[in-house]
Amino acid sequence: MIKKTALIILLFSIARFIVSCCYCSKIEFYNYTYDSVRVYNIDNSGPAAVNASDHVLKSAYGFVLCPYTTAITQRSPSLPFSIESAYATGKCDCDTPEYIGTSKDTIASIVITTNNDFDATHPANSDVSDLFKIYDHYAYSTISEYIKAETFHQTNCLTFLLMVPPPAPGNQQFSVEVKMKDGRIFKKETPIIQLI
Amino acid sequence: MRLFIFYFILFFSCILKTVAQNTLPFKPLFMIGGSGGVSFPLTKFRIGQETDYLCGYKDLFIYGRPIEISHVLFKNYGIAASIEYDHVDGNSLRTDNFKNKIQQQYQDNFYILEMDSKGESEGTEVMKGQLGIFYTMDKPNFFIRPQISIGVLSLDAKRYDIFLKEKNTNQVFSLRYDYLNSRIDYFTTDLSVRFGYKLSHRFAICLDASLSHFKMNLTFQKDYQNLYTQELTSEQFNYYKNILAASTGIGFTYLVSKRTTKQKTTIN
Repeated sequence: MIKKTALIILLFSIARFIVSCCYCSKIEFYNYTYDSVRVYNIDNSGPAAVNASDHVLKSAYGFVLCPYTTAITQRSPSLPFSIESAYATGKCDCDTPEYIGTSKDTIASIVITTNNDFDATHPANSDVSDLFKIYDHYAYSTISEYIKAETFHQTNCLTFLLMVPPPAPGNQQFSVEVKMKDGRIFKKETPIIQLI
Repeated sequence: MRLFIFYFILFFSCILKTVAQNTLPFKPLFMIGGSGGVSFPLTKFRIGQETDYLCGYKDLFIYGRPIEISHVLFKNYGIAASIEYDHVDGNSLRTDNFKNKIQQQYQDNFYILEMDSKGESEGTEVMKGQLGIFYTMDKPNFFIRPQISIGVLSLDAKRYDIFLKEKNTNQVFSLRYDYLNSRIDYFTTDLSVRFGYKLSHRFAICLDASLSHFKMNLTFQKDYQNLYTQELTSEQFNYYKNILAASTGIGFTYLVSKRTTKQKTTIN
């Protein structure tokens, strides 16, 4: 009886070892948090937006806001019958898994202010968020509409297009303030650009 | 629709043959054949717009009738059924022509970002099913057969979604082409004459000439929308016209059954 029990335990252990070695997870789940954001100017005068040089047509100006995130925890999927995968073995020839992240903090608001006089109604340091639209796959959205949408992924870069250009050409710079729901604020300025 | 036409003609032919054999005082002549030729437009379908390439029809085309069935029912009168395939421009050629037309119109001020088509059948054939009555004038070496037919022509059409970006601006536009008619099957009438030269008592080669007509009733709508301002302008392209075509072709006829008087038999 003891021998039989020992044999069953041994076989079960061998099965666990084999399965754990050969298990390849295709999806890795993780949680992430925001570290900072970066912004850069774009030139949208062509068929697709490209990084802007020092000047852009004022009717084709935009900027991109990208978040920097850090993965804080990894959630491993559990296997049936409580057999766990052995991530440390490194013996399996697995493809690179797809990473699916869940944000631990979400964007509450984004405010764009102009550092220079923009037009008669928007002097320096005034809110110009209403002059920009977030553009995503042939759709224009206001900032509030976009960040409330269910399809909004917190890790994606956001493309802001200036839909109401300034009346006169000149140098412009915009400050972008991203407020998180946990109270943190990330603030960045676009590089100075000449709108012609 | 095409399957319906095929089964309708098949069913009609079988019923007629059965009825004829059981009721008429003689065994009817049953002929099969096939033909092909060219159709020339007498009135043009195209209106010179980009939507011309969204409809699977062509002014000048080659046609083929792989199946022609005819019965001489009473004296020299009979009925005929056929299925016709009209060879029109293929999907890729129509798409290329449509894209070229769009580019000509918009390339000065816009970039074409994306073009998506949503279509029905994308083949190169338009199907036409026909039923007709004819009168045959038989001579020892040839026959002449005037015929009047009705039928159904089944066309296909395509829809397009196009996205345009205005040059040097942040403005993106959508351009949508859609057909408004839920059905694009048309009733057709044909007048034709067949001249057949008998090579043997069963086989004849034929020369066909015909005039065909159908009333096209097709509308395409073009919606042009600024996706930022949502401003929408629409334009319609109407194809309400009588399409008249003359066609000529060659073919053959094979006599399956010969006319013989039925004999009554009595079983004692």
